[in-house]
Amino acid sequence: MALVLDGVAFGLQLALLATGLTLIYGLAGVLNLAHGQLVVAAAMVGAVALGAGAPVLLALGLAVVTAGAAAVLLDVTLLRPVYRLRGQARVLLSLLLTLGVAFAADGLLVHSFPFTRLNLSVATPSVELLGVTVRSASVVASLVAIVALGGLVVLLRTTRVGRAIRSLTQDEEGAQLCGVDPGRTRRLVFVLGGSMAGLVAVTQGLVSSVGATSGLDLTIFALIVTVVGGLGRVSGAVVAGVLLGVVHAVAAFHIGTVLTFVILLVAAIVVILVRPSGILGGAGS
Amino acid sequence: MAILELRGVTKRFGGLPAVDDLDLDVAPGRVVALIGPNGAGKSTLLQLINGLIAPTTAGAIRFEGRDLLGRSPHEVRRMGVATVMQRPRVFTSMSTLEDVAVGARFGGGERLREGPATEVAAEVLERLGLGARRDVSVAELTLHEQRVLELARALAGRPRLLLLDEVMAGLNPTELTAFVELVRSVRDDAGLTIVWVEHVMRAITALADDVVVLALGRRLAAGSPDEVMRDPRVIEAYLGRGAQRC
Amino acid sequence: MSGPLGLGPGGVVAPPASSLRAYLPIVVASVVLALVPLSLGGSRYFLSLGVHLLVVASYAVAFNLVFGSTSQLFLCQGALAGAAAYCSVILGNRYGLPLWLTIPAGVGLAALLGGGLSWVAVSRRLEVIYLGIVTLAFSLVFTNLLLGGRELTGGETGLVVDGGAGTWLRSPAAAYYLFLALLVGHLVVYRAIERSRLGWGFRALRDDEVAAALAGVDVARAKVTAGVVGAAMLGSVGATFAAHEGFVSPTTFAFGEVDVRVLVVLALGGVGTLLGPVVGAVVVTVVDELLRPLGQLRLTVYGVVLVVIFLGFRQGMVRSVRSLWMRAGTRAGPRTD
Ligand SMILES: Nc1ncnc2c1ncn2[C@@H]1O[C@H](COP(=O)(O)OP(=O)(O)OP(=O)(O)O)[C@@H](O)[C@H]1O
Ligand SMILES: [Mg+2]
Repeated sequence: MALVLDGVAFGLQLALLATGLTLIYGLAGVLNLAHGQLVVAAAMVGAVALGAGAPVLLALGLAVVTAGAAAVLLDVTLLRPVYRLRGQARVLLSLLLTLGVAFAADGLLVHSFPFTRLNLSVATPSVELLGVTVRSASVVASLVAIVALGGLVVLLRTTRVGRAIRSLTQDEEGAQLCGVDPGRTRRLVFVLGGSMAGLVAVTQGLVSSVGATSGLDLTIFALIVTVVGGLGRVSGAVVAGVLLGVVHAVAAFHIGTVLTFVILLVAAIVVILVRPSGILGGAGS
Repeated sequence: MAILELRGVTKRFGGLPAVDDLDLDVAPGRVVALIGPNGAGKSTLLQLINGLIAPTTAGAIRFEGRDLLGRSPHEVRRMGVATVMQRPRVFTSMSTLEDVAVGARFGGGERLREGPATEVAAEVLERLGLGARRDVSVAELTLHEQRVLELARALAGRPRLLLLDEVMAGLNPTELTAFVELVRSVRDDAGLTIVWVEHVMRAITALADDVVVLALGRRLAAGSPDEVMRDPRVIEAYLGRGAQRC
Repeated sequence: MSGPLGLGPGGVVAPPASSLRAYLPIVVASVVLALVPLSLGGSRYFLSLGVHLLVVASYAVAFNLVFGSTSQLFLCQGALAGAAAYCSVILGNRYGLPLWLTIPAGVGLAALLGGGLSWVAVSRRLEVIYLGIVTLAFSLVFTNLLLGGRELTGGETGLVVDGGAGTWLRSPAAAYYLFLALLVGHLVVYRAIERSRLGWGFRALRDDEVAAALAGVDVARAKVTAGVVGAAMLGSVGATFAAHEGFVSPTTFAFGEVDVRVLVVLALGGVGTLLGPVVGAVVVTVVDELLRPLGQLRLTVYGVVLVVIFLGFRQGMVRSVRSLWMRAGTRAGPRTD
């Protein structure tokens, strides 16, 4: 039971990480391979601000804003030529460009902050939940994730922008004809996706810590969850995140982290081959 | 004896039938026009024949008595069935001659080497009046020229059955007349059988031996062009809109 | 635009028709590369640098065949090379088999894996992004299995190679020429395929797969063949490199170590060009040495290079130099027509 709760908490972080990636892919056709670096950039800004004596909430706010701003900067600068292409060509070019950005950012971050880590897990008291003792930091992190994910779902389901986002995700040209401005909606989605990456820095900082070298691993985890949930599907990413979080916690306890990672990777491969639209989607395509 | 036979062919996209339990016989040497409103299933039918789409139910598709079902597009092509698709699909990195030579080298039943394939391609281009453009990059060709190029690539593999999908769409009246003449001469020279999806009525009345009308994936009517155009069901389902389009 | 999904070469040129002109660039490149060690006085340091250059160039030729010719985004160059290397080393160490048996076995395994990946991609009709993710996941699975399968693979520390110890294989100068021979072999295979019937099919399917299939090209077979041949190339270099180094470890074949570099090399040299891999490898190796003092920032330089290439300079160096040359030629030279 404790393992499952741990898994759910980890899974919520994964969900938060993957929804940003999947949202951007769904709307813009950009698979952002620098997603993990957004998290790291946010974490470094937060850590530096905290180190400079800024109040905790201000520092964390700065962290989230950094990631959102970095993402939208990517959208309006380097990715602009990408949007002139359609379909497969767009996906491939964005893949290669963001891979370049990921390397560039990784080198810069590791070079500039070799020893900095965002670590918010100050000795937090443990609490009793469902008859199990859990760390309150973990509870807080999960609550942050739940609120953020819930807010995103409400935004997508009920507001005008949310409808615009969903219609563009389904049919770019059709939505454009109906008067949806793709550029503006896209910027909004990059801000949203980036900020969620920034939140991951905060929640990860709560439960463990984030260092400058974590970028690639975070991107890989985001990719696995996104693929298992179905590329571009927000609800799929949430479900897959929690599911894989539990699998990860249980498997890591029994067979160790290395083989657990292999299991997650194989799960992603199997989903692509058997059910490319994700666990919630229909079979085949 | 029919050169092409379809029996009980069905294709559904997510439950909705695009082609619905269709039977069709095409006699050798005929030009069969396939008409019908948008979404009637015409393109789907051609792609069921050429192997790009697999049917939902078994049924049967036979060409010269040999089964086409379950074969991939390149196999169908090598058996003698060539296709020109609705949207031009050309090899943009190649010259006109190279593009057509691909059809000659891979499309025919026998394996041609590079030299002979290029000769065949040059010959076909000459015959279709595109000889002067043989060394131009295909990306620079006009829409009309790209259509002729695709026809040339199809013919370069010496097919016995030619599937044409709205090859007249988007051409101006002069180009249209020229293209109709081209298809006529191709048919006369090679004794080809042609199954031809078309919206342009002028072209159909000029060339088609038989007309088959599809609506909602089913055969609505069939006969000579005159008979079909007088059929009230056809006028209702199709020509009312088709007449406006032309 | 053409090339892999409209990304790579703008205006691919057909390989030259005459055999002399088709293979001359390979002859020239190999003569130049063969003279390099002599001009540098055969220093150990430069020779080992040279070996690394030749290895990455050979990897890039393989990637060029798989990605450049048939648009299959394989992000598992390192894993395929590593599979061959580990297979060869384990067979040699455990069963005492000689290198001339274990290396071909490793190559066979790599070819099987590469062909398998291609076949799966073709039969499941994977779009480029899904093949990219599958092969990336395959790379990571491979690395983690190496780490996890300690008894067989030596885990993180890797394995010391028994075969080839104390022979000429371990001498830098001989190894340099061995890897040069491998590279030349790869280039010849690449060019021969390009000029063959299969190469025609590659060009057609790279432009438009559906049109190619309708014209009679067996697209599935062409892609799987590219996967098999490319993986065999990777495997032959990986297994030979292991025998030369006398040592294998997961980092030797890690994604970040091999695939990233190969991608930069090929993008820089020019996707779909014969000598792009060689030119790219030379530039990357030299720049890498010059930038060594930068430490981690080297990765940043690579990243920026990738971004710049894919934003504005997609032809790569070989093609840009060629078009500059031709422009200069038409301006300066007397016109003959
Ligand atoms: N790949 C597909 N996926 C889902 N539905 C499809 C697909 N291809 C065709 N359809 C549907 O099948 C039906 C028949 O389409 P088809 O393209 O065969 O019509 P058509 O007669 O060629 O029309 P047009 O005159 O517009 O070319 C249409 O309702 C279309 O929406
Ligand atoms: Mg159609």
